Amino acid sequence: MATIKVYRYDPEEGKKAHYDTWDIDVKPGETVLDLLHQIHYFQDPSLSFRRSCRSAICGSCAMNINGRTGLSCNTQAKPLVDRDGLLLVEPMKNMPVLKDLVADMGEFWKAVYDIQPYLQPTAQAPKGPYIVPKQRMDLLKIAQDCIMCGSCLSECTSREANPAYLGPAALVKAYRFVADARDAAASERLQSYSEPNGIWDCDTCLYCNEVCPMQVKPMDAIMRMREMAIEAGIPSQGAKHALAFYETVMESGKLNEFKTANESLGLGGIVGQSSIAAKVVLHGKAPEIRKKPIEGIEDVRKLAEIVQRKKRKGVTK
Amino acid sequence: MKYAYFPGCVGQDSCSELDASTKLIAEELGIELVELTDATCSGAGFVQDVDYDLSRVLNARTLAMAERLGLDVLTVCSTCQFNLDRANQELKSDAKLLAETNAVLAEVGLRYAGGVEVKHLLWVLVNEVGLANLRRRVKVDLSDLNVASFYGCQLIRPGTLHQYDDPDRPQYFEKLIEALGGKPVDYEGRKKCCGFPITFVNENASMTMNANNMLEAKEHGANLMATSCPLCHINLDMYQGRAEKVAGRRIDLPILHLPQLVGLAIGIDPARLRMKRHLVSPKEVLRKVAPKDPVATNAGS
Repeated sequence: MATIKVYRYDPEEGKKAHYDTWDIDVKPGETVLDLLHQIHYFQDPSLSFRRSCRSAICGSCAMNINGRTGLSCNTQAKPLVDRDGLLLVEPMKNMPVLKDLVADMGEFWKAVYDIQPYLQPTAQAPKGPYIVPKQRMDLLKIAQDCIMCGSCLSECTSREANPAYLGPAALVKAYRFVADARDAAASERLQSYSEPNGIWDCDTCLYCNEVCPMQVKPMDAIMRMREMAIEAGIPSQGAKHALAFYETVMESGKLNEFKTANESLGLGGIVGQSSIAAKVVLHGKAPEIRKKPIEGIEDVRKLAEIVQRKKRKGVTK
Repeated sequence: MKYAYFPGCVGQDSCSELDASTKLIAEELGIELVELTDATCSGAGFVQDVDYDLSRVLNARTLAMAERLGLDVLTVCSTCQFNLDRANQELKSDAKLLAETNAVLAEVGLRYAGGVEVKHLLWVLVNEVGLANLRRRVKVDLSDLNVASFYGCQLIRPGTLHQYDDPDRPQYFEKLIEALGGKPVDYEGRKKCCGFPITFVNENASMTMNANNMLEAKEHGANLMATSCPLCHINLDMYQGRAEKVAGRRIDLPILHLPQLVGLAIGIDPARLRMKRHLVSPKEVLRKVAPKDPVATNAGS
C-alpha cells in the first residue's frame, strides 16, 4: 500500500485548494497515470486531469510528481514511493490552475504564438522538393522532438520570477525556425527574440534540459541563438554583457569583473550600482581594475584566431 | 589525494576568501593542490555565448594541462565545474571532435587524450575525504547553526552530466552539513537559480529569484547559508541589499562559501577564513558556535 496525495482545487466549489490522499496498492510497472485512473474510476470521479495517448507522445498529461514536472504516463510510481515514502501529485507550476491537476496553458500558447511558429520561406520557392543538407537537419535535433507538454515552463526559474519571459518551450520552437534551412526570416527573428524577455533572459538554470521528457534541449537552443545573434551583430544588453566578458578573457585569459561590469552597465548603470560599490570597496572586495595576463595569453589568442578562421571556412558547425 | 586545482576567476578576485579558505582546508584535510595558474576562465557561459567552439578549445587546453600533470581537476565553483566538465564529456564521447580539437591544440604544443576527470570540492569532501573522517575532525560545535545549502544550478543539473548527486533530491551538501555538526535546512530554493547570470540583463527578475530563495530558507529556519558557487555568492551576499529592496523585506542572511563552513567546523580561525569580507556580516550568527574542546581549539588557533 502506498499513499498518493493529490492537489485538489475546484473554483466552482469556492473552497480553498487542498490535498486529498488515498491509499493504493502500487504494483511494479504501474505509472502515475495508471494510479490517477484508478482513483478516477473507482474512488472519486470528480478528480480532473488531462491525458490522451498514454504513450508519451501527445504531451497532455504533464504534472508535478514528487517535486519534478514530467509526463504522468511515463513516470513509474513504485520507484518514487520507494524513494520518498509517498506520491505527491500537483499541477504544473508557473501557470494558473483550472481544476485539480489541470493547468491553464493559455500563457504557454500565447508565448508560442508570439515567436511566429510557422515557416517564413523565401518568396521564390524551389522547383521540385526543397533539398536540405543533412548538416542543416542535424541542427534541429535538439529542438524537433518537442511535444509541447509544458514541463520545461513549469520548472523554468526565470519564468517564475518574470511572467513576461517567453520561456523555454516557445524559444526552442523559435530556434526550430531560426535553424531551418528553408526559413528566410532568421535575422528578423533573432532581432525580435533579442528584445527584453527573450533569449537573454534565460538564467541558464538547466531545469528545462533536465525535465524534458523528450530530451529536447531548450537551453542549448537558446544558447545557440545567442551565439547567432552576436555573430549577426544584433545589439542587446545581453550581447553587450557577453561581449564585454569575452573581451576581458581575450585580454588576460581571465575574467576582469571590474571591466565587464563597467562596459556592460555603462556610466548610468554604474551610478545605479553605487550603493553596492561603496560597500564592496569597504569590505575589500573590489575586483582588480587591471588583470595580469596569464603566462600563456599568446597561446590563448592564437587558439581564438585558429577557431575563428576555421569557422569562417565553415569547417566547424 | 592530489588534484590540479582550478581556482576560477571570481574565486581569486572579488571572492578571494574562497581561494584562501579552500587552500586552508585542503592543507588541513590532506588534499594536495597543484594550482593551474596558466588556465583560462572556463567561460562561465558568457564566452560560450560569443564563441562556443572556442570555449571548448580553451577548456580542452586546461584539461590538457591537468593531464600533463597526471592529475584530475578540482573546482570550487558550480559554474566552472559545469563548463569544464561539459567540454570534457563532449570531447570524451566524440572521437572526431577530440581529434579536431587536438589539431587546434597542437598549434600551441598541447594534446588532450581524454583521461581527466573534473570534480567539485563538495564531491571530493563527501566521497574522498569522507564524512566519518570529517566528523572526527570537527572541533567547533555548530549545533546552533541551521544551515541552508545553496548548490548553484549547474552543480546538480543536468543529471546526465553529473554522476554523483540526484538532481531532484541533492543530498551531498546536506550530508556534509550534518557531518560538520550543523542542522541542514530543507527547502526547494536550494536547487534553484540565484539569478546571477541575468543580473546585468534583468536585475529585477534576478533579485526576485535571489530574494525568494533566501526568504524561503529563512522561513524554514535558516540562520546561515553556505554555497558551493562564488557566482551565487555574489548575488546572495553582495546583492542581498538589492534583493531586500525588490522584496520590500529585510533578509539579513549571512552567506558563507563551502570551504569557509568546513574550516569553521574543523577549528580554523574565522579571521583566517576571511569572514569579514562578506557584506552581510556573519558575526552575530557565529557567536552561536562554541569550541567543543577549548584546549583543542586554542591549540589550533
